[in-house]
Amino acid sequence: MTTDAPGTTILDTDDCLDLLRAGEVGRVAVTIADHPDIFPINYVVDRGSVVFRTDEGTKLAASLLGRGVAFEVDGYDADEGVAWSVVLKGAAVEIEQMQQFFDALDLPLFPWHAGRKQHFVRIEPTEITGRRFHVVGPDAWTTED
Amino acid sequence: MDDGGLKAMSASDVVWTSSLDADTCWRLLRRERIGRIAFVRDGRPWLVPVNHLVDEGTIAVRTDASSALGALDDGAEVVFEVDDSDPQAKTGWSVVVHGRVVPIDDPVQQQALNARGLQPWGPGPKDRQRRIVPDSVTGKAISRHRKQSDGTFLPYMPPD
Repeated sequence: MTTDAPGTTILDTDDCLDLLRAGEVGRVAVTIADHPDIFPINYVVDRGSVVFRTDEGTKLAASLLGRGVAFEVDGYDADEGVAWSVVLKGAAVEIEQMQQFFDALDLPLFPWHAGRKQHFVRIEPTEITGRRFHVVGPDAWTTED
Repeated sequence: MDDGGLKAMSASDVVWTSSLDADTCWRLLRRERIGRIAFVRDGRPWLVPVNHLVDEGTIAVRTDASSALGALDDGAEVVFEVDDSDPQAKTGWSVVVHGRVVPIDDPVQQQALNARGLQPWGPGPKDRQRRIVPDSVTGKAISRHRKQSDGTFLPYMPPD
């Protein structure tokens, strides 16, 4: 871990993977005909990569295979006033080889909602970045009503 | 709000998805403190967590001019997302806003947003205020009921 701006800790890859492993829900960003889109997904970490399942025929399935994607998890500890985020960039590949497929079936991963899930997708990371920082002035927060 | 979305029943659970109406989406957008913005840069998707404030039907954020988000052209297409989930119940919801970023140049508006608490959570100058003007706002929820011993279904509740 290194620190750059005051109050911010740049997380190393191991810290990022620990935070990823502790989570269950993240968001994947894709491009669809050069337009951005975001999908929340539940996932597991396997061999240093992010694995999740998608429905065949969905917008998400059509937009991510073989493409560059970004994946994000974040969290906020209100007691400590600390927020963190981890962003992973890489290519999304379908897990096709049988051995890999059966390995993936052993992962503690099942979709939260009810569609028929046919694709196991792995995001092979080319870059993992994370940071943790003390929240500046959270008490000043107000909402519009 | 049940839109007849995907439904499935296992021995113990019935699970379904619902669309959230616009009022519910905006209430959730106001309630959440952290969201994520996705945009396209050099043909690739980027995803950045931000804190935000709902202001007059738009999403106001503060960024560094030097950051990837801050460097987006005015009018660039972006997607903003908030969500929450219950890992034990395996339920959750998300709201997704498709829109475009526009600058907030009026000092009066800037000060009003600062006074309402549009403070950047992270350190750094974060001196550029921008807003996302929505083209569409959609929300989705995953619900789950669990079968009781008497055969009735109840929302999943964690054990005491």
